Amino acid sequence: MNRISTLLYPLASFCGLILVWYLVVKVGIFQELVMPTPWTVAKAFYRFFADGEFFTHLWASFARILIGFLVGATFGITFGILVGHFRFVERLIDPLIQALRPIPIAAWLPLAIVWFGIGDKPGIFLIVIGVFFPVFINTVHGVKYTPPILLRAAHMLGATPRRLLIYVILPGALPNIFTGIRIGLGLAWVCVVISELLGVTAGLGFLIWDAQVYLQTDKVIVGMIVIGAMGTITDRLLLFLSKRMLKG
Amino acid sequence: MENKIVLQAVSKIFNGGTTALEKLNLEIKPNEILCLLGPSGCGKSTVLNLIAGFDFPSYGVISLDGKVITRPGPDRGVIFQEHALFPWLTVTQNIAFGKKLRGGEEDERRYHESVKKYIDLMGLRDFQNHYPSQLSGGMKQRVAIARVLVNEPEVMLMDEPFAALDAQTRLSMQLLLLSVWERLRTTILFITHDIDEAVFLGDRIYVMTARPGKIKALLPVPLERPRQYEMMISPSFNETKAKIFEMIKEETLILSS
Repeated sequence: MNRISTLLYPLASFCGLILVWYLVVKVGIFQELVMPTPWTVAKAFYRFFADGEFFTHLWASFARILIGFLVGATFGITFGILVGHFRFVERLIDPLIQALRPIPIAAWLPLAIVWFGIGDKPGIFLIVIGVFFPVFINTVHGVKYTPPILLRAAHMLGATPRRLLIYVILPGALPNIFTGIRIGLGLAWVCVVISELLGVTAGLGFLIWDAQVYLQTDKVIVGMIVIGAMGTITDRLLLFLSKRMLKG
Repeated sequence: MENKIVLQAVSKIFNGGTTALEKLNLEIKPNEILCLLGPSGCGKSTVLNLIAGFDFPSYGVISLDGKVITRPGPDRGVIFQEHALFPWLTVTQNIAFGKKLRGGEEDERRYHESVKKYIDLMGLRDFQNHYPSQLSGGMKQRVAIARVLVNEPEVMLMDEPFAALDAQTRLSMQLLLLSVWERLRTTILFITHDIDEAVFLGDRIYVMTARPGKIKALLPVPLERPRQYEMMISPSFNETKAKIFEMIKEETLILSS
Protein backbone atom coordinates (compact mmCIF):
# COMPACT_ATOMS: atom_id res chain seq x y z
CA MET A 1 0.00 0.00 0.00
CA ASN A 2 2.72 2.41 1.03
CA ARG A 3 4.91 1.72 -1.98
CA ILE A 4 2.00 2.06 -4.36
CA SER A 5 0.94 5.38 -2.85
CA THR A 6 4.46 6.86 -2.90
CA LEU A 7 4.52 6.21 -6.63
CA LEU A 8 0.90 6.74 -7.48
CA TYR A 9 0.23 10.01 -5.67
CA PRO A 10 2.96 12.06 -7.39
CA LEU A 11 1.97 10.49 -10.71
CA ALA A 12 -1.61 11.60 -10.13
CA SER A 13 -0.58 15.22 -9.55
CA PHE A 14 1.55 15.23 -12.73
CA CYS A 15 -1.33 13.79 -14.76
CA GLY A 16 -3.66 16.34 -13.17
CA LEU A 17 -1.40 19.21 -14.21
CA ILE A 18 -1.19 17.92 -17.80
CA LEU A 19 -4.98 17.51 -17.89
CA VAL A 20 -5.58 21.07 -16.66
CA TRP A 21 -3.00 22.33 -19.16
CA TYR A 22 -4.78 20.48 -21.97
CA LEU A 23 -8.18 21.81 -20.95
CA VAL A 24 -6.94 25.39 -20.66
CA VAL A 25 -5.78 25.26 -24.27
CA LYS A 26 -8.83 23.35 -25.57
CA VAL A 27 -11.37 25.59 -23.86
CA GLY A 28 -9.57 28.52 -25.45
CA ILE A 29 -8.38 30.50 -22.44
CA PHE A 30 -5.03 30.69 -24.27
CA GLN A 31 -4.59 30.50 -28.01
CA GLU A 32 -2.56 27.51 -29.18
CA LEU A 33 0.07 29.89 -30.52
CA VAL A 34 0.97 31.21 -27.05
CA MET A 35 0.24 28.01 -25.18
CA PRO A 36 0.85 24.74 -27.05
CA THR A 37 -0.94 21.54 -26.05
CA PRO A 38 0.95 18.86 -24.12
CA TRP A 39 0.99 16.80 -27.27
CA THR A 40 2.71 19.53 -29.34
CA VAL A 41 5.30 19.89 -26.59
CA ALA A 42 5.87 16.14 -26.58
CA LYS A 43 6.52 16.20 -30.31
CA ALA A 44 8.89 19.15 -29.93
CA PHE A 45 10.64 17.20 -27.20
CA TYR A 46 11.21 14.30 -29.55
CA ARG A 47 12.57 16.53 -32.35
CA PHE A 48 14.80 18.30 -29.87
CA PHE A 49 16.46 15.06 -28.79
CA ALA A 50 16.46 13.42 -32.21
CA ASP A 51 18.44 16.09 -34.08
CA GLY A 52 21.14 16.39 -31.42
CA GLU A 53 20.36 20.06 -30.69
CA PHE A 54 19.68 19.10 -27.13
CA PHE A 55 23.24 18.03 -26.39
CA THR A 56 24.81 21.16 -27.86
CA HIS A 57 22.72 23.40 -25.63
CA LEU A 58 22.97 21.17 -22.59
CA TRP A 59 26.74 20.97 -22.82
CA ALA A 60 27.13 24.73 -23.38
CA SER A 61 25.19 25.51 -20.20
CA PHE A 62 26.66 22.66 -18.23
CA ALA A 63 30.26 23.64 -18.98
CA ARG A 64 29.60 27.22 -17.79
CA ILE A 65 27.98 25.94 -14.63
CA LEU A 66 30.77 23.48 -13.92
CA ILE A 67 33.52 26.10 -14.16
CA GLY A 68 31.54 28.84 -12.39
CA PHE A 69 30.38 26.49 -9.67
CA LEU A 70 33.86 25.12 -8.94
CA VAL A 71 35.42 28.58 -8.81
CA GLY A 72 32.57 30.10 -6.78
CA ALA A 73 32.47 27.22 -4.29
CA THR A 74 36.26 27.25 -3.87
CA PHE A 75 36.25 30.98 -3.11
CA GLY A 76 33.20 30.62 -0.87
CA ILE A 77 34.72 27.82 1.21
CA THR A 78 38.15 29.46 1.45
CA PHE A 79 36.87 32.87 2.51
CA GLY A 80 34.23 31.22 4.70
CA ILE A 81 36.89 29.34 6.66
CA LEU A 82 39.08 32.44 7.01
CA VAL A 83 36.22 34.69 8.13
CA GLY A 84 34.68 32.04 10.39
CA HIS A 85 37.92 31.08 12.10
CA PHE A 86 40.01 34.25 12.33
CA ARG A 87 38.54 37.21 14.14
CA PHE A 88 40.75 39.76 12.39
CA VAL A 89 39.81 38.47 8.91
CA GLU A 90 36.16 38.67 9.92
CA ARG A 91 36.58 42.30 10.99
CA LEU A 92 38.53 43.03 7.83
CA ILE A 93 36.39 41.63 5.04
CA ASP A 94 33.04 40.46 6.38
CA PRO A 95 31.43 43.94 6.27
CA LEU A 96 32.54 44.29 2.65
CA ILE A 97 31.06 40.94 1.67
CA GLN A 98 27.83 41.69 3.53
CA ALA A 99 27.57 45.01 1.66
CA LEU A 100 27.91 43.33 -1.74
CA ARG A 101 25.54 40.48 -0.91
CA PRO A 102 22.18 42.29 -1.33
CA ILE A 103 22.95 43.20 -4.95
CA PRO A 104 20.73 40.91 -7.08
CA ILE A 105 22.75 38.58 -9.30
CA ALA A 106 21.03 39.83 -12.47
CA ALA A 107 22.25 43.36 -11.70
CA TRP A 108 25.83 42.18 -12.25
CA LEU A 109 25.14 41.19 -15.87
CA PRO A 110 25.55 44.58 -17.61
CA LEU A 111 28.88 45.17 -15.93
CA ALA A 112 29.95 41.58 -16.61
CA ILE A 113 29.37 42.05 -20.32
CA VAL A 114 31.33 45.30 -20.33
CA TRP A 115 34.19 43.60 -18.50
CA PHE A 116 34.29 40.28 -20.28
CA GLY A 117 32.66 40.94 -23.64
CA ILE A 118 30.39 38.40 -25.26
CA GLY A 119 30.80 34.64 -24.97
CA ASP A 120 31.07 32.31 -21.98
CA LYS A 121 32.86 34.60 -19.58
CA PRO A 122 30.07 36.93 -18.36
CA GLY A 123 27.88 33.89 -17.60
CA ILE A 124 30.67 32.16 -15.73
CA PHE A 125 31.30 35.34 -13.76
CA LEU A 126 27.63 35.54 -12.82
CA ILE A 127 27.62 31.93 -11.68
CA VAL A 128 30.76 32.48 -9.59
CA ILE A 129 29.02 35.32 -7.78
CA GLY A 130 25.76 33.41 -7.42
CA VAL A 131 27.51 30.37 -5.94
CA PHE A 132 29.95 32.31 -3.76
CA PHE A 133 27.51 33.96 -1.36
CA PRO A 134 25.46 30.99 -0.11
CA VAL A 135 28.60 28.82 0.16
CA PHE A 136 30.44 31.60 2.01
CA ILE A 137 27.64 32.32 4.47
CA ASN A 138 27.01 28.68 5.34
CA THR A 139 30.73 27.92 5.68
CA VAL A 140 31.18 30.86 8.07
CA HIS A 141 28.27 29.63 10.14
CA GLY A 142 29.56 26.05 10.26
CA VAL A 143 33.10 27.06 11.17
CA LYS A 144 32.04 29.61 13.78
CA TYR A 145 29.53 27.49 15.63
CA THR A 146 31.40 24.27 16.33
CA PRO A 147 29.70 22.85 19.45
CA PRO A 148 31.72 24.25 22.43
CA ILE A 149 31.75 20.81 24.06
CA LEU A 150 33.65 19.36 21.07
CA LEU A 151 36.16 22.21 21.23
CA ARG A 152 36.69 21.48 24.92
CA ALA A 153 37.10 17.78 24.24
CA ALA A 154 39.71 18.54 21.56
CA HIS A 155 41.61 20.94 23.83
CA MET A 156 41.53 18.36 26.60
CA LEU A 157 43.06 15.81 24.21
CA GLY A 158 45.87 18.29 23.54
CA ALA A 159 44.93 19.57 20.08
CA THR A 160 47.32 22.02 18.43
CA PRO A 161 45.59 25.07 16.86
CA ARG A 162 46.24 23.92 13.29
CA ARG A 163 45.07 20.37 13.92
CA LEU A 164 42.02 21.67 15.77
CA LEU A 165 40.99 23.52 12.60
CA ILE A 166 41.71 20.64 10.22
CA TYR A 167 40.43 17.69 12.24
CA VAL A 168 37.63 19.18 14.35
CA ILE A 169 36.32 22.51 13.09
CA LEU A 170 36.27 21.67 9.37
CA PRO A 171 34.70 18.19 9.66
CA GLY A 172 32.16 19.71 12.05
CA ALA A 173 31.34 22.40 9.48
CA LEU A 174 30.94 19.98 6.57
CA PRO A 175 27.14 19.59 6.85
CA ASN A 176 26.78 23.38 6.70
CA ILE A 177 29.22 23.67 3.82
CA PHE A 178 27.20 21.10 1.88
CA THR A 179 24.00 23.03 2.55
CA GLY A 180 25.67 26.13 1.08
CA ILE A 181 26.88 24.18 -1.93
CA ARG A 182 23.40 22.83 -2.61
CA ILE A 183 21.84 26.29 -2.48
CA GLY A 184 24.71 27.55 -4.65
CA LEU A 185 24.18 24.89 -7.27
CA GLY A 186 20.48 25.76 -7.49
CA LEU A 187 21.43 29.41 -7.97
CA ALA A 188 23.97 28.44 -10.64
CA TRP A 189 21.10 27.25 -12.84
CA VAL A 190 19.29 30.53 -12.28
CA CYS A 191 22.46 32.46 -13.20
CA VAL A 192 23.12 30.48 -16.34
CA VAL A 193 19.62 31.11 -17.70
CA ILE A 194 19.84 34.84 -16.96
CA SER A 195 23.32 35.18 -18.47
CA GLU A 196 22.36 33.37 -21.67
CA LEU A 197 19.89 36.12 -22.44
CA LEU A 198 22.76 38.08 -24.02
CA GLY A 199 25.91 37.46 -25.99
CA VAL A 200 25.83 33.68 -26.52
CA THR A 201 24.62 31.36 -29.29
CA ALA A 202 24.21 28.13 -27.36
CA GLY A 203 22.86 27.02 -24.00
CA LEU A 204 19.54 26.00 -22.50
CA GLY A 205 18.89 29.61 -21.49
CA PHE A 206 19.76 30.82 -24.99
CA LEU A 207 17.41 28.17 -26.37
CA ILE A 208 14.36 29.44 -24.51
CA TRP A 209 15.10 33.14 -25.07
CA ASP A 210 15.70 32.46 -28.76
CA ALA A 211 12.58 30.32 -29.18
CA GLN A 212 10.52 33.01 -27.46
CA VAL A 213 11.55 35.56 -30.08
CA TYR A 214 10.10 33.28 -32.77
CA LEU A 215 7.09 32.46 -30.62
CA GLN A 216 8.07 28.78 -30.54
CA THR A 217 6.37 28.28 -27.23
CA ASP A 218 6.59 24.51 -27.47
CA LYS A 219 10.35 24.80 -27.59
CA VAL A 220 10.36 27.22 -24.66
CA ILE A 221 8.48 24.72 -22.57
CA VAL A 222 10.79 21.89 -23.61
CA GLY A 223 13.76 24.02 -22.54
CA MET A 224 12.12 24.80 -19.20
CA ILE A 225 11.46 21.14 -18.54
CA VAL A 226 15.05 20.19 -19.37
CA ILE A 227 16.44 22.96 -17.13
CA GLY A 228 14.19 21.81 -14.30
CA ALA A 229 15.19 18.19 -14.80
CA MET A 230 18.90 19.02 -14.90
CA GLY A 231 18.57 21.10 -11.75
CA THR A 232 16.89 18.20 -9.99
CA ILE A 233 19.42 15.64 -11.22
CA THR A 234 22.48 17.68 -10.20
CA ASP A 235 20.89 18.43 -6.81
CA ARG A 236 20.19 14.73 -6.17
CA LEU A 237 23.71 13.87 -7.23
CA LEU A 238 25.11 16.36 -4.73
CA LEU A 239 22.81 15.06 -2.01
CA PHE A 240 23.94 11.51 -2.73
CA LEU A 241 27.59 12.58 -2.56
CA SER A 242 27.12 14.46 0.69
CA LYS A 243 25.38 11.49 2.30
CA ARG A 244 28.28 9.25 1.29
CA MET A 245 30.75 11.72 2.78
CA LEU A 246 28.89 12.59 5.97
CA LYS A 247 28.61 9.24 7.66
CA GLY A 248 27.70 8.75 11.29
CA MET B 1 52.82 10.73 49.60
CA GLU B 2 52.78 14.00 47.65
CA ASN B 3 49.41 15.21 46.51
CA LYS B 4 48.58 14.85 42.83
CA ILE B 5 46.46 17.95 42.57
CA VAL B 6 46.30 20.86 45.00
CA LEU B 7 43.89 23.79 45.04
CA GLN B 8 45.02 26.57 47.37
CA ALA B 9 42.57 29.30 48.39
CA VAL B 10 40.95 29.21 44.97
CA SER B 11 38.23 31.77 44.28
CA LYS B 12 36.27 32.17 41.10
CA ILE B 13 34.25 35.26 40.38
CA PHE B 14 32.44 35.25 37.06
CA ASN B 15 32.18 38.30 34.82
CA GLY B 16 28.66 39.00 35.98
CA GLY B 17 29.98 39.35 39.54
CA THR B 18 28.73 35.98 40.82
CA THR B 19 31.12 34.38 43.25
CA ALA B 20 31.12 30.70 42.34
CA LEU B 21 33.95 29.57 44.59
CA GLU B 22 35.39 31.22 47.70
CA LYS B 23 38.83 30.34 49.05
CA LEU B 24 38.43 26.70 48.27
CA ASN B 25 41.12 24.25 49.37
CA LEU B 26 41.22 20.75 47.94
CA GLU B 27 43.78 17.99 47.59
CA ILE B 28 43.70 14.89 45.42
CA LYS B 29 46.05 12.09 46.42
CA PRO B 30 47.69 9.84 43.86
CA ASN B 31 45.70 6.76 42.84
CA GLU B 32 42.59 7.63 44.84
CA ILE B 33 39.03 8.17 43.74
CA LEU B 34 38.08 11.50 45.23
CA CYS B 35 34.42 12.43 45.11
CA LEU B 36 33.23 16.01 45.13
CA LEU B 37 29.65 16.14 46.33
CA GLY B 38 27.31 19.06 46.66
CA PRO B 39 23.91 20.53 45.91
CA SER B 40 23.27 21.64 42.36
CA GLY B 41 24.62 25.08 41.54
CA CYS B 42 27.31 24.91 44.23
CA GLY B 43 30.20 25.22 41.79
CA LYS B 44 31.28 21.57 41.51
CA SER B 45 31.67 21.79 37.76
CA THR B 46 33.56 25.07 38.12
CA VAL B 47 36.16 23.24 40.22
CA LEU B 48 36.53 20.65 37.47
CA ASN B 49 36.75 23.26 34.71
CA LEU B 50 39.53 25.05 36.59
CA ILE B 51 41.54 21.85 37.09
CA ALA B 52 40.97 20.92 33.44
CA GLY B 53 42.30 24.34 32.41
CA PHE B 54 39.13 25.38 30.56
CA ASP B 55 38.86 28.37 32.87
CA PHE B 56 41.16 30.22 35.25
CA PRO B 57 40.80 30.97 38.95
CA SER B 58 40.30 34.61 39.91
CA TYR B 59 42.46 34.08 42.99
CA GLY B 60 44.52 31.19 44.26
CA VAL B 61 46.65 28.51 42.70
CA ILE B 62 45.94 25.11 41.16
CA SER B 63 48.78 22.71 40.57
CA LEU B 64 49.37 19.22 39.20
CA ASP B 65 52.44 17.47 40.61
CA GLY B 66 53.60 20.85 41.90
CA LYS B 67 53.31 22.57 38.51
CA VAL B 68 50.76 25.37 38.05
CA ILE B 69 47.99 24.54 35.57
CA THR B 70 47.77 27.01 32.71
CA ARG B 71 45.79 25.25 29.98
CA PRO B 72 43.96 22.02 29.07
CA GLY B 73 46.00 18.96 28.25
CA PRO B 74 45.89 15.18 27.90
CA ASP B 75 47.46 14.73 31.35
CA ARG B 76 44.05 15.72 32.74
CA GLY B 77 41.48 13.69 30.84
CA VAL B 78 37.91 14.91 31.16
CA ILE B 79 34.72 12.85 31.02
CA PHE B 80 31.91 15.29 30.34
CA GLN B 81 28.33 14.95 31.48
CA GLU B 82 27.30 14.74 27.85
CA HIS B 83 29.51 12.31 25.98
CA ALA B 84 31.27 14.90 23.72
CA LEU B 85 32.35 12.29 21.17
CA PHE B 86 33.13 13.37 17.61
CA PRO B 87 30.04 12.30 15.64
CA TRP B 88 31.86 11.80 12.33
CA LEU B 89 34.36 9.31 13.81
CA THR B 90 33.85 5.64 14.65
CA VAL B 91 34.42 4.30 18.17
CA THR B 92 37.99 3.28 17.34
CA GLN B 93 38.75 6.57 15.59
CA ASN B 94 37.35 8.52 18.54
CA ILE B 95 39.53 6.63 20.99
CA ALA B 96 42.64 7.06 18.83
CA PHE B 97 41.88 10.73 18.05
CA GLY B 98 44.12 12.22 20.76
CA LYS B 99 47.33 11.24 18.96
CA LYS B 100 46.04 12.71 15.72
CA LEU B 101 45.07 15.99 17.38
CA ARG B 102 48.44 16.35 19.09
CA GLY B 103 50.41 15.18 16.06
CA GLY B 104 51.75 12.93 18.77
CA GLU B 105 55.22 11.45 18.89
CA GLU B 106 53.88 8.20 20.33
CA ASP B 107 55.00 5.13 18.47
CA GLU B 108 52.28 4.24 15.95
CA ARG B 109 52.21 0.52 16.68
CA ARG B 110 52.34 0.84 20.43
CA TYR B 111 49.57 3.43 20.37
CA HIS B 112 47.44 1.21 18.18
CA GLU B 113 47.90 -1.68 20.61
CA SER B 114 47.02 0.63 23.47
CA VAL B 115 43.82 1.70 21.68
CA LYS B 116 42.88 -1.97 21.28
CA LYS B 117 43.63 -2.65 24.93
CA TYR B 118 41.22 0.05 26.11
CA ILE B 119 38.55 -1.03 23.63
CA ASP B 120 38.69 -4.45 25.24
CA LEU B 121 38.93 -3.10 28.76
CA MET B 122 35.80 -0.98 28.31
CA GLY B 123 33.90 -3.83 26.62
CA LEU B 124 33.64 -2.06 23.27
CA ARG B 125 35.00 -4.79 21.01
CA ASP B 126 31.67 -5.39 19.25
CA PHE B 127 31.17 -1.67 18.66
CA GLN B 128 34.54 -0.64 17.22
CA ASN B 129 33.16 0.48 13.87
CA HIS B 130 29.97 2.05 15.18
CA TYR B 131 29.37 5.77 15.04
CA PRO B 132 28.36 7.58 18.27
CA SER B 133 24.81 8.06 17.01
CA GLN B 134 24.44 4.28 16.91
CA LEU B 135 25.38 3.84 20.59
CA SER B 136 23.36 3.98 23.80
CA GLY B 137 24.18 6.56 26.47
CA GLY B 138 26.17 4.08 28.55
CA MET B 139 28.19 2.91 25.56
CA LYS B 140 29.02 6.49 24.62
CA GLN B 141 30.44 7.12 28.09
CA ARG B 142 32.52 3.96 27.81
CA VAL B 143 34.05 5.35 24.63
CA ALA B 144 34.63 8.70 26.35
CA ILE B 145 36.47 6.94 29.21
CA ALA B 146 38.57 4.82 26.83
CA ARG B 147 39.44 7.94 24.83
CA VAL B 148 40.85 9.54 27.98
CA LEU B 149 42.59 6.46 29.43
CA VAL B 150 44.49 5.73 26.23
CA ASN B 151 46.47 8.93 26.85
CA GLU B 152 47.53 7.59 30.25
CA PRO B 153 46.46 10.74 32.11
CA GLU B 154 47.81 11.77 35.51
CA VAL B 155 44.24 12.29 36.62
CA MET B 156 40.82 11.58 35.17
CA LEU B 157 38.26 14.32 35.81
CA MET B 158 34.68 13.07 35.69
CA ASP B 159 31.83 15.59 35.67
CA GLU B 160 28.65 13.75 36.70
CA PRO B 161 29.40 11.26 33.93
CA PHE B 162 26.56 8.87 34.75
CA ALA B 163 23.88 11.41 35.73
CA ALA B 164 22.04 11.14 32.41
CA LEU B 165 21.85 7.33 32.49
CA ASP B 166 19.01 5.16 33.78
CA ALA B 167 19.49 3.55 37.20
CA GLN B 168 20.53 0.12 35.95
CA THR B 169 23.00 1.40 33.38
CA ARG B 170 24.39 3.79 36.00
CA LEU B 171 25.06 0.91 38.39
CA SER B 172 26.75 -1.18 35.72
CA MET B 173 28.89 1.79 34.71
CA GLN B 174 29.89 2.36 38.35
CA LEU B 175 30.92 -1.29 38.62
CA LEU B 176 32.83 -1.10 35.34
CA LEU B 177 34.63 2.07 36.46
CA LEU B 178 35.60 0.39 39.75
CA SER B 179 36.96 -2.71 38.02
CA VAL B 180 38.96 -0.58 35.56
CA TRP B 181 40.29 1.49 38.45
CA GLU B 182 41.30 -1.67 40.34
CA ARG B 183 43.51 -2.55 37.36
CA LEU B 184 44.94 0.86 36.47
CA ARG B 185 44.71 2.85 39.73
CA THR B 186 44.29 6.07 37.76
CA THR B 187 43.73 9.06 40.03
CA ILE B 188 40.10 10.13 39.64
CA LEU B 189 38.17 13.24 40.58
CA PHE B 190 34.53 12.24 40.47
CA ILE B 191 31.90 14.95 40.65
CA THR B 192 28.37 13.98 41.58
CA HIS B 193 25.27 15.12 43.41
CA ASP B 194 24.28 11.51 44.10
CA ILE B 195 25.24 10.56 47.68
CA ASP B 196 25.06 6.81 47.03
CA GLU B 197 27.35 7.15 44.06
CA ALA B 198 29.89 9.20 46.01
CA VAL B 199 30.01 6.74 48.92
CA PHE B 200 30.11 3.67 46.67
CA LEU B 201 32.96 4.93 44.48
CA GLY B 202 35.03 7.27 46.61
CA ASP B 203 38.00 6.79 48.91
CA ARG B 204 37.30 10.23 50.31
CA ILE B 205 34.43 12.65 49.83
CA TYR B 206 34.57 16.42 49.84
CA VAL B 207 31.16 17.88 50.62
CA MET B 208 30.63 21.38 49.26
CA THR B 209 28.52 24.20 50.65
CA ALA B 210 25.90 26.08 48.70
CA ARG B 211 27.08 29.03 46.63
CA PRO B 212 29.57 30.54 47.03
CA GLY B 213 31.16 27.12 47.01
CA LYS B 214 33.49 26.16 49.82
CA ILE B 215 34.47 22.82 51.29
CA LYS B 216 32.13 22.00 54.14
CA ALA B 217 33.67 18.70 55.19
CA LEU B 218 36.04 15.96 54.18
CA LEU B 219 34.94 12.40 54.92
CA PRO B 220 36.91 9.22 54.46
CA VAL B 221 34.74 6.37 53.23
CA PRO B 222 35.03 3.42 55.62
CA LEU B 223 34.52 0.73 52.97
CA GLU B 224 37.21 -1.64 51.81
CA ARG B 225 38.43 -2.24 48.30
CA PRO B 226 37.58 -3.83 46.02
CA ARG B 227 34.08 -2.48 46.41
CA GLN B 228 31.24 -4.94 46.06
CA TYR B 229 27.67 -4.19 45.14
CA GLU B 230 26.50 -5.69 48.48
CA MET B 231 28.35 -2.97 50.39
CA MET B 232 25.60 -0.56 49.38
CA ILE B 233 23.37 -2.10 52.05
CA SER B 234 26.01 -2.42 54.77
CA PRO B 235 25.70 -0.44 58.04
CA SER B 236 28.86 1.62 57.47
CA PHE B 237 27.62 2.62 54.02
CA ASN B 238 24.37 3.84 55.50
CA GLU B 239 26.07 5.65 58.38
CA THR B 240 28.28 7.59 55.98
CA LYS B 241 25.30 8.31 53.80
CA ALA B 242 23.28 9.59 56.75
CA LYS B 243 26.10 11.89 57.84
CA ILE B 244 26.37 13.41 54.38
CA PHE B 245 22.64 13.67 54.06
CA GLU B 246 22.46 15.83 57.18
CA MET B 247 25.12 18.18 55.82
CA ILE B 248 23.49 18.53 52.46
CA LYS B 249 20.10 19.12 54.03
CA GLU B 250 21.49 22.10 55.96
CA GLU B 251 22.87 23.49 52.73
CA THR B 252 19.63 23.04 50.86
CA LEU B 253 17.80 24.85 53.64
CA ILE B 254 20.21 27.78 53.34
CA LEU B 255 19.56 27.89 49.63
CA SER B 256 15.80 27.90 49.93
CA SER B 257 15.63 30.46 52.75
